Amino acid sequence: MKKRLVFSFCSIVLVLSMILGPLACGEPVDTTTYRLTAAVTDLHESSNPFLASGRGDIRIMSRIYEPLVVGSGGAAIPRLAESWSYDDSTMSWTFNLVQDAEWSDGEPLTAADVKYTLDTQYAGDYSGGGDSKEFVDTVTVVDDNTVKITVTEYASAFLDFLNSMYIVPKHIWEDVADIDTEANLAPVGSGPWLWDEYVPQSHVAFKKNPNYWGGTVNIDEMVLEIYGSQELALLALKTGQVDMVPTVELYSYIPQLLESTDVKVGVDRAANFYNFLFVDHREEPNNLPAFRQAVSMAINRQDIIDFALFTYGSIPRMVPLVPEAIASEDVDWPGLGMTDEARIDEANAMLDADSDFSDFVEGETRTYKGDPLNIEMTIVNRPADVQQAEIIRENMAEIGINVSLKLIGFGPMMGMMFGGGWDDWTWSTAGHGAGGSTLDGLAQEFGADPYNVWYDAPSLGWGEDGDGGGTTAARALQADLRQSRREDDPATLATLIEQIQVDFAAELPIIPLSQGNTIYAYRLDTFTGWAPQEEMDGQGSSGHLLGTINILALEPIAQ
Amino acid sequence: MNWKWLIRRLGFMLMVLAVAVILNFLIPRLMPGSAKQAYAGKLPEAVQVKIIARFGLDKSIWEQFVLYIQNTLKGDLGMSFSNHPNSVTYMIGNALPWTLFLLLTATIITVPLGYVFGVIAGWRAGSKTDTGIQIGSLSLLATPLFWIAMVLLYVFSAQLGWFPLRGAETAYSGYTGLKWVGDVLWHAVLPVLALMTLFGAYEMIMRNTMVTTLRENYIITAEAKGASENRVKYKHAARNALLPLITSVGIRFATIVGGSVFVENIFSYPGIGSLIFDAVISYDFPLLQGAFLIFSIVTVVVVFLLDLVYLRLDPRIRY
Amino acid sequence: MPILTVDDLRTHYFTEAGPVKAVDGVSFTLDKGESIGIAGESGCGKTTLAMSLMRLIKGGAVVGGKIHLGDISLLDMSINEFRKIRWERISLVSQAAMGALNPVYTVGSQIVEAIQLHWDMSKSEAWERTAHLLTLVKVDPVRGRSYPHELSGGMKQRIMIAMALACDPEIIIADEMTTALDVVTQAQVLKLLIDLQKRLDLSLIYISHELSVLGQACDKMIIMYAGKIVEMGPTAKIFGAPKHPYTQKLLGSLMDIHSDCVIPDSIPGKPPDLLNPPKGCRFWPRCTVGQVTCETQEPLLIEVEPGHYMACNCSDDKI
Ligand SMILES: Nc1ncnc2c1ncn2[C@@H]1O[C@H](COP(=O)(O)OP(=O)(O)OP(=O)(O)O)[C@@H](O)[C@H]1O
Ligand code: SF4
Ligand SMILES: [Mg+2]
Repeated sequence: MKKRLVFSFCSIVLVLSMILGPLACGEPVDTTTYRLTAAVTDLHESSNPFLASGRGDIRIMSRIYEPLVVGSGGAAIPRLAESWSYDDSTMSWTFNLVQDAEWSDGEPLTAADVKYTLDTQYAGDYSGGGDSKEFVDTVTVVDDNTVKITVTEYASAFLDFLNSMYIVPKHIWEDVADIDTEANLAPVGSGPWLWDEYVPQSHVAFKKNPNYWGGTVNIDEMVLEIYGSQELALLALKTGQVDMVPTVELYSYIPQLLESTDVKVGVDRAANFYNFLFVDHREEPNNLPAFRQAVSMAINRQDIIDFALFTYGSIPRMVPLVPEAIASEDVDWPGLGMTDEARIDEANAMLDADSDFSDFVEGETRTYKGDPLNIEMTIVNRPADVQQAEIIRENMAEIGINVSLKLIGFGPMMGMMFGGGWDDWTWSTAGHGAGGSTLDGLAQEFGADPYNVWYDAPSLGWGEDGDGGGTTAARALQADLRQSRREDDPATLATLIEQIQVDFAAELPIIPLSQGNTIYAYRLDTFTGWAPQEEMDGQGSSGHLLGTINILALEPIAQ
Repeated sequence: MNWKWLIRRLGFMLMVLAVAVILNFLIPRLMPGSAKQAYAGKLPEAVQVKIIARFGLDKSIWEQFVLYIQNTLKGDLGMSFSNHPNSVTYMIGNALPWTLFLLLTATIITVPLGYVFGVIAGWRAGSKTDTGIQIGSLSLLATPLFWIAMVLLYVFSAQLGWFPLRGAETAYSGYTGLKWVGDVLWHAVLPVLALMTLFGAYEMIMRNTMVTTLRENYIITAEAKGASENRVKYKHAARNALLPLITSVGIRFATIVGGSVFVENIFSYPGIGSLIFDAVISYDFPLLQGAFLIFSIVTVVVVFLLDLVYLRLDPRIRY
Repeated sequence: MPILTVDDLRTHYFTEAGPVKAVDGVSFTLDKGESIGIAGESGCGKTTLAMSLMRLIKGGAVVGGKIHLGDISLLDMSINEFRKIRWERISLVSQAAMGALNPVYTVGSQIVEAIQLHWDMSKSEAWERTAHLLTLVKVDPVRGRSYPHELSGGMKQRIMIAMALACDPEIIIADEMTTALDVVTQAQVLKLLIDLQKRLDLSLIYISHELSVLGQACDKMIIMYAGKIVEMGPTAKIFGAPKHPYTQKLLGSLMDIHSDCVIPDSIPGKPPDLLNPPKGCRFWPRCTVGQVTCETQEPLLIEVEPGHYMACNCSDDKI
């Protein structure tokens, strides 16, 4: 009978799959090939460096291509450029390229490639190089190994912007008919890896570049596998199906991960991000420094780190916006280290001192000029964010401020900030680097220079001077921050930073809450030589575990 | 063959497709923001210009419609925001075979199973066997698909390690031939099992129509003719009860398609479901629209194929 | 020697409230070539009786009595053995004959199925016989390739008769065979059946509401009331001089209204609940001539004149 046939066919298929599958997969692929497998949860597959954007692309791009430098918060480490300098009088940057860099097809990498890349990126209005195009006037080839970039204005984040400026081979791309639709499935790059196989939504596989100019790659293959969720990616790490998870986003899973002695969890402090409380200075009493200070004082930052970030965050720097390379590590937050009671009393006293605020009564909401202090705070609807916001809400209740939470998605949050639509308070993350951040949005709405957010943001104390001009104190702070990025004399710089620290605490235009770190995890039983903590730091967004320095140091453990 | 009927169904199918295509045209244009935003919003500016020209987004709505129809017929559904420079067609082309494989395998296994169990349960309605099967089916029916998928994944992949944690095949394995087939089947076992929870629905439908069919007079005739129990059960009763089951497979297919979004995402299966999930997360409107269009086409085609099966099975269909 | 002997047959349906005594001590005989008509109000157990003869009772069982076909006892056989008796020796044209044909098979193939179930015949031989049977019932043999829905009610009923004749049975049970047909068709089908019965020397059990039909068709009549036979005898006697008060009422109301000769609902009161039938005479609550003794004393079926039986306590009192 036909029905029987169909039925038995199906059962055979089912049984076959149960038997054949494990049989087929039980066998190791090739015992002499060393493969590094990384589990990622987002990977947008494009190997066209002109169109690359977002973390997924960058993971792929930075395996194949390399930027001139890897900038991070004003400092930078060398990559294709071994040294560089800025000349204020001619307003130009000079980059000296490494001597023996070559493309994976054997052609030498020269200054002409750099010029071609920058010119093409800027002319086509592509996203590589971020906002650097707003500053660049001309790119000149000085000699085979020297490029000069003339800018229209000094920008503090210029080197950061260059992170995503992946230098491409001129001799290949010149012949590409339409860059906008070029899938670039056989890329020629200068990086340690050669792109080998791409299966959409599944994985990207690389083979090592045997002629990598920067050193010897000891691993034969690298596979980035896409996992549906962080849980699964971490599970795969725990059970040994992958060797590393470059970005751990699920903090709550980390204790479970640590049960395995074969797994190490590390903190990449360079790829960190700040959590800020943005207050709209156009609103009363947000415009009062004393109010902002009281709010800041009442917030229990240690709780935020302990409970919301599962101790994987840290206390933010007092002035998060000075260059990291020179930022003081000393954390001297007013209120930190005080008992809860003393901290809250202090904050209450600060508000009680102003007669516009009604006096604190336990369990009641204060009034400001007769209006109750009901504050709406917008946050992104993500577990760690909501937990932080909850802690703030409880702290605020202790000083008589009634905070209500408004949860929105990440996309809408970005839309809100870039489109203008700030709430009384907005709780958000601002990464540093060239990508869009909350600071950019802030700057855009309030008329500051969006390309110099690093020192403009703190001046957005709209206050009494109005019109986005900032208060006098905030403008002084801004000027000092600008100067801090260009000051060469260490002694002067130290005094400057000390001054900034004092001014920032007094003005507190933005309230820093915590500093989240990028967490990575890897197995100890498959490869050795994972880069130590110090080497991981300071490599910017492409410097995490998959980064070149780390990869070159890895040695497979013979099984 | 009943040609009149066939042509009518074909016409109907084309009409549904036309509606799907038109909706796909209208929705991005009715959304807050503009069609430009929906088609080109998150692309690099240079690419935006080309997309705007290609879809005539700055022209009148009629010109846009003509261009849209032309492009759709050419298979050009625009460019994915999150995966540019890959086109929507390219992304869907890669994902569709996996989804079809998953959905069809699940359906091909589930429907006969639901049929057999439904016949067994319905034949002796009220017996212990029947009660047992009903409890099983109801519990499957009442359990959310994504939950079952997660349990399967955690038990059989995470805890026991019998099945892989992700994907439709071992990444970068280099397998070919039978080995590759085995690998693909091994990866499909859990997703298919999760989708097979729909068995509950099929079994219930089969059982209930079986019960009503057994009250029909032709069943008495068949028994009176001296036909054996199995002959009465399968050749007379089940054969008739099968018809509503087939109709319900068509109706359910849309549900499975929805379910596959969860299942694919949980098993990191590289099909249309995962594509939709990613597209939602990254606000990739062109991809989302393309995926929905493909899903409507697949559903319509499947329903039509089922109609053909129905046509073969039920002689009563006239026009 | 009668071909069929039914002796004290009792069939109960098992319900939650208790056994429904649908046939409660029925005895009669059927001779070769003889036709018996069974009449009685709706629910009196006519179908149950027919189904008991075919051993097709669902939700109940024959709980007592004997059925002999010739000298073999039908109730003592295994069901598998009995399946051979079905259709080969006794066939059934069941109630609501419209649904008695399976809608998804051609009518011819259903006749072929009946033949092949019992006779070792090739498909083509069976089709040949089917064609012959169809001509016998005056249906064009090409109609064998039609599906039931393509045929008129009268045609279907003829085909049912052809099917009943498939294996040259000795007995045909026809239950409400013509009920759903219009009067003209009814007469044609009935005439056909009677002709065939006479020609093929068949024994016939004809169950009907239509007393006039029974009058034309049957040699003998059985009047049932609430699971029991109340009167039985040659048709002429029953129609000419009914003895039992129930039969009289039945025929009386028939005469009164000169209507379509259908059992009317004009006997006041309702048939008893067969879960708890009255202890004495079951007709007592509705009987106009009954005496006090009737309430407790159950009347026995006695022969009041040769071949004429009835069950009434007041058999001697002429009304
Ligand atoms: N499956 C069953 N379960 C319980 N009771 C039943 C069942 N089938 C029939 N009965 C009851 O048994 C009695 C006899 O039913 P039956 O169908 O034999 O009557 P009938 O004389 O054929 O009636 P009709 O003229 O309406 O066909 C009725 O009271 C009916 O309600
Ligand atoms: S026995 Fe009594 S009640 Fe029953 S029919 Fe005869 S007279 Fe009427
Ligand atoms: Mg009946």
